Amino acid sequence: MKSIILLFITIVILILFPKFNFGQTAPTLGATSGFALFTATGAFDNTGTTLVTGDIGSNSASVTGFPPGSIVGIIHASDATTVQAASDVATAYSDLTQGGSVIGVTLGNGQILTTGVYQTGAASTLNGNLILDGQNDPNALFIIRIGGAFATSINSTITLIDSASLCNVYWQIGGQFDLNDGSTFMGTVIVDGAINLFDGSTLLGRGLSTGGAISLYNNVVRFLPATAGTITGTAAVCQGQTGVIYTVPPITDAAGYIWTLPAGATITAGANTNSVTVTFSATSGNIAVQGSSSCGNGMISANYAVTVNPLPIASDIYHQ
Amino acid sequence: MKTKLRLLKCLVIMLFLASTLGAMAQGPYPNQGAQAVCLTGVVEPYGVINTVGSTYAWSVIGGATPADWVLTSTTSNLATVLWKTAGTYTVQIIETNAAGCISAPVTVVVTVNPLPVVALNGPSPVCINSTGNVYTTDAAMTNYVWSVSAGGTITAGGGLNNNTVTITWITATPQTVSVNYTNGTSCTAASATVFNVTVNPLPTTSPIYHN
Repeated sequence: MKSIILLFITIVILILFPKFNFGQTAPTLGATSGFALFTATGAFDNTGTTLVTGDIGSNSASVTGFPPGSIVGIIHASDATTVQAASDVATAYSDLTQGGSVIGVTLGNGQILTTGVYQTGAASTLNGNLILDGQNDPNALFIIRIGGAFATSINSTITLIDSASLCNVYWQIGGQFDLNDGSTFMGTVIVDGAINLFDGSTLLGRGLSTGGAISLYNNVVRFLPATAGTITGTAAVCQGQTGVIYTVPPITDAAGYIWTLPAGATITAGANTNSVTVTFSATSGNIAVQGSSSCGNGMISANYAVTVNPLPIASDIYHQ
Repeated sequence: MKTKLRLLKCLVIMLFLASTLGAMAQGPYPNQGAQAVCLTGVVEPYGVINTVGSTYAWSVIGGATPADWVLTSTTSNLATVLWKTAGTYTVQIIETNAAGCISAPVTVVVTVNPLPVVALNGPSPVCINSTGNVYTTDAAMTNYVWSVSAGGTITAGGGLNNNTVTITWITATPQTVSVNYTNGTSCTAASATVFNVTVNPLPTTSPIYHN
């Protein structure tokens, strides 16, 4: 009898969690999820025209270098948010301690990794290109654990193929992280040490430190789709009009597009793309759009005001 | 003094109300709804209340132009139609306002009725002073309008509700009797039907001669 009950419970659990993966789980980012760059303890400096999309901050120091750096997001310095984030980044770091297949300490040079947990066990480097292959699963999770400091060579890159998403790539780095000049790195990097982004390097993801300075230099850092551009379309339409097209330039890193329409208006074609066909009801209002990805939604566009003109109502026809 | 002020206030309010009512939109012609017209050959006017800045597209649905109808003029909110064949048609207007928005079509059904062909029959030739000459037109119509030339005397009928007239012809010259009426669809012939009557004199017999 007991074994039957156990079997039943097991079956129910398997039905409820069909994609439950016993091998790997994404970390809980908590309050750090809105940060592009964060350190629990350490200085936060920028040199040059760094562009960050997402919040930045330190729980122990003020942020310097913005400007000349620019940010689409909020700068936090030792506030309630950073207190929570400091706690949560430690949790996230420990969440990533999940064992993993052992790989060599020199990554890259065309190396291909598929979904899974990997560990190097010692300080490591990235040279050339590392390919992360999603094997057509948009939820493919990659956890790469570096057992010490991690540095890339100049102009090294990470390439995502076959539906791999930078939102599902996590790095646990047990020491300082150096992203060398001109390199492009992807994923949420949770570092037990300093984060140094050298001249012209790009981090598509987050850089979160449990303790260590963050130093930036002419970088691009973002994990959300870019801010939506300017909407073009028809500014004055008639009540009930169909087939009205609105377009926004393609948004970098957007997997989808979230459109906001005046009340009663509906999208009849192109939903979730950068060009939608709209049918209006009777209400004027604003159209706006933002890019979306599995990392979250990008900054919303400026409002595009649309006037919905009522239809004329001709009087009865009069006659003799 | 107070009473005068009150009266003045009342007057002002009444004037205001009167002007408001006067400013309410009025149709360009008196009637709305389905229309029945007679095939008179006179153009019929149609119109909607004008909206400043709007343009109007008139059309007639049913039949064919120019055989059955001609849209003789379309001037903004007004149009005229010459109906040429009896039948049922729809006059339609579509309004486009200043913003380029298009109204739902507004229509009126027009039934175009033919004019009656007025029959008129009776005795001719007749003898002068003969009585009981009955002239008959179509029955069951209204508003009969009879006309008898000067050489006849109506002895019966000939009224607005009569489809007969009884005449004694008293002058031996060519005479006429004519009639028109309004039929069941309120149509009247363009002109009365005229019936010519020849009135012959009585023979003038010579005296009887005898030895």
